[in-house]
Amino acid sequence: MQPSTHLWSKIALLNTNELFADRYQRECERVNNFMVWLMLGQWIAGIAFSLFYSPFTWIGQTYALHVHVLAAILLGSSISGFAIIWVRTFPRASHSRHVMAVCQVLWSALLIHLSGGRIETHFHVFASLAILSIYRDWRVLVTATAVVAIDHAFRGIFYPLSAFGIINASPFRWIEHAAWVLFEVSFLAPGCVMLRNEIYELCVQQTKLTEAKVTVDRKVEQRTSELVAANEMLATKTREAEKLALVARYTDNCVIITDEQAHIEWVNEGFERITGYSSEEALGYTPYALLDGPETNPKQVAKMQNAIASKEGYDLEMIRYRKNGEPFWMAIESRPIHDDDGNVTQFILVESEITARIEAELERQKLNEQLIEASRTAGIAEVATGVLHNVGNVLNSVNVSAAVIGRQIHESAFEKLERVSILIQENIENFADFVDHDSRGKQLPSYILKVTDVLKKERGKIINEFEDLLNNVEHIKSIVSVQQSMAKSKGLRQKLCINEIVDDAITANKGTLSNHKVDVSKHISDDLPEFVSDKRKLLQILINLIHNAKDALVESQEANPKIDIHVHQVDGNLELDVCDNGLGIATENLSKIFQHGFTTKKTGHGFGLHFSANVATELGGSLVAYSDGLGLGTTFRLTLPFNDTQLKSEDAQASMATGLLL
Amino acid sequence: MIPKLNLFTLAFLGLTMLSSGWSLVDYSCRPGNKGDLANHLHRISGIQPLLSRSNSQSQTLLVFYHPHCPCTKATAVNLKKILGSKSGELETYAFAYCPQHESDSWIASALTSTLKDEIGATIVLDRAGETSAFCGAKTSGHLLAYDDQGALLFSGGITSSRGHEGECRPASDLLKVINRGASETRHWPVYGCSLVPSKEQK
Repeated sequence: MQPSTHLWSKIALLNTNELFADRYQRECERVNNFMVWLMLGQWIAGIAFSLFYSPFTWIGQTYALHVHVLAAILLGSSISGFAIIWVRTFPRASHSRHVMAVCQVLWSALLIHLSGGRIETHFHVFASLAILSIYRDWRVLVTATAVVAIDHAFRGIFYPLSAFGIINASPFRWIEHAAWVLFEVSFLAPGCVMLRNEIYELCVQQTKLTEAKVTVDRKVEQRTSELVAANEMLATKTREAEKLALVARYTDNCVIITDEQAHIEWVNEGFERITGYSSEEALGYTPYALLDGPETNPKQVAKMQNAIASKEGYDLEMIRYRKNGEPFWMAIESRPIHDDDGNVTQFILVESEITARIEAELERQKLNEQLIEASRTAGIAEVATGVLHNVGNVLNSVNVSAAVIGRQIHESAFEKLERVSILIQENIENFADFVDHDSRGKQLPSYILKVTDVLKKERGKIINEFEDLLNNVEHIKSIVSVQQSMAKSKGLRQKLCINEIVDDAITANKGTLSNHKVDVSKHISDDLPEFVSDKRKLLQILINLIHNAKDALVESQEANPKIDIHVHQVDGNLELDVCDNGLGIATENLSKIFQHGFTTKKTGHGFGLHFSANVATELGGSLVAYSDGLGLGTTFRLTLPFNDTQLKSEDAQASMATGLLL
Repeated sequence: MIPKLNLFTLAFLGLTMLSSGWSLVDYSCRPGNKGDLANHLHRISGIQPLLSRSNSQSQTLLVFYHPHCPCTKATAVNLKKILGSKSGELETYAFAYCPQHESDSWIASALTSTLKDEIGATIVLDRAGETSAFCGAKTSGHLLAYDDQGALLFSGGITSSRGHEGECRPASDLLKVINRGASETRHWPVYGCSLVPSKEQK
């Protein structure tokens, strides 16, 4: 992310200030070095000055070293030494410049003094100011001026004789001296500012140049990286192109490039291998003119031509012919190639021979048909198994009813009535005497009455059994109808009363239950609403569950076999439990009890519970089994939704039906 | 971290600078001794032979100096300027101190040449400083100006400090005197080497 212009300006200003400070600092250090040498030079010059001008002081004929020489050595060394050590101690500090200025002005004073106050030596003050101006710091000049002013003011006020040679000099005369210095400073100081500004401007320019260089470098770097990336991309594309060329050359597929009119411009070696045509033979022809034959689908050829005319691609699988006339199947992918203006300029066709695949598909299709036929047969068998299983269950009841009716007829009081009839026929002529006098005749009316009572009872029993028989036959019809409806994937939902359904299921198993003296009790909540479901499917489930419970009780040889049917509402669902105290289910078999073909019964098929569970699911509910183990009885819990909207769609039922079929 | 040695050195040098500077200023500004001045020119016996040859209408300026005194060079420079601006007649005599046992050539120096050649003074050898002592001049650079009647008009040096040339009040006063601008005697301090041997200082 690039910084904003404002931020760039701040950075540039910081860079400029930093550059200026660095450059000015280096300049000051350079000037400091110069001043150090100047200090040493002035010291030597001061000594030489004093030796030249005033080597000795005389008292009559005797002489001694002049105080000026001593002053040049001692005072000069202290001034120069102080300045040198100060700038060496504080080389980068701004006050070093001011200390140097003070010492330089002191040197002016000393040299003036050593030269006997020569007016020429006074120029050293102005020369010093000029020298100090190379610091390019006007404040240094102010310091120098201040030293001159303070020196003259101090001495003018407190020691005028030393400054002006008179005792009663004006206390403001120092101002005149300071003013002359100030006069020069007034020119030098603007020069310093100007030079300083010029340096700053140079720094600004250098910063701009540096920034420009950085910008250019950055751009060069960016361009370079872009070029490197472009080169890498070019190299990648070249490698890809080479690979594509290899693919186009050595692939087993035909690769054809045509113009916009589908005239062949280029073919690969795969084309030559597959079709038998050489490249020279193929050029200029359209693929369909070159490769199509009698069995080529004309509709596909037309589709191909239409696509070419409309400049569109196409995918086709069609029969083509080799040069030797052999037909073969090809899968064709044709794609238009566009120029920069979007116009189609060429077509590229990739054609692969799919003869083997087509033949395999035909073979697979044949196998599929055979499989479908086998599945259909198997489905019919399974439907038949289901029908037979359920019908078999009902037929047991039918058989029981028929046996009861037969036994009833066989043991009927008709025989006795027949004997009464024979007795009446034998005594028909004197029937009155016979009734009045014969001992047998006297008992005949009462006997007839008894027989009639017995026959009445027998008729009632037979009628009941017959009704059961009819119900069971009706149930068989319904089973067949349900199986038919299942086969047709049609549901038969209606409003149901669970009480009636439970009764019907018990009734369906009545004969076998009574044969084995199984006590069936039902416990149905009173507040159960009517609900919508498939009566026959629900009935099939309940019949199966009761029948299985009976079988479990029989196998367990339970002394008091009983089946409890509990129906109640739980969480908006109908919950129906069929509990027995029979054989029970081993824990390891609980998970397998609903699998198709799994059974623990000696005569079972492993179909009933599987079928029941499937039907429960089809009804939108579930069927689960609970058992604490062998010998501890079993509970099958059927859960069904009260809400019709919870029922699965007919598609789901159709899937189930299809699944059953398959 | 500033080295302590540097700080101590700076402090030492600063103190040295102040003390030696102050000593130098004090030395330079401390005037020399004066004796009993000769208030009338005719009372100066050593100068009478010279005066008898001169113009009796001109003023007389006596310069007492030590030929090798560096401080008196400033006096010569200032005197040269003053005499360049004089309007009346002035006879200048420069009394060059010469030790008792030295030859006359001992007085030959740049200062003597300046006084003689550039200022036009008559160089008078003052053996053992007897004349200067008689006139009360004990310090080199002491000037005595007399009017044409021989009365003392000016006494003292014409530099602001020891060996310090340039414009100053004594020089201006001398110029005024020799241009007959003042009637009262002016006395100024003298800065220079002593003309009196050390044993006679006191």
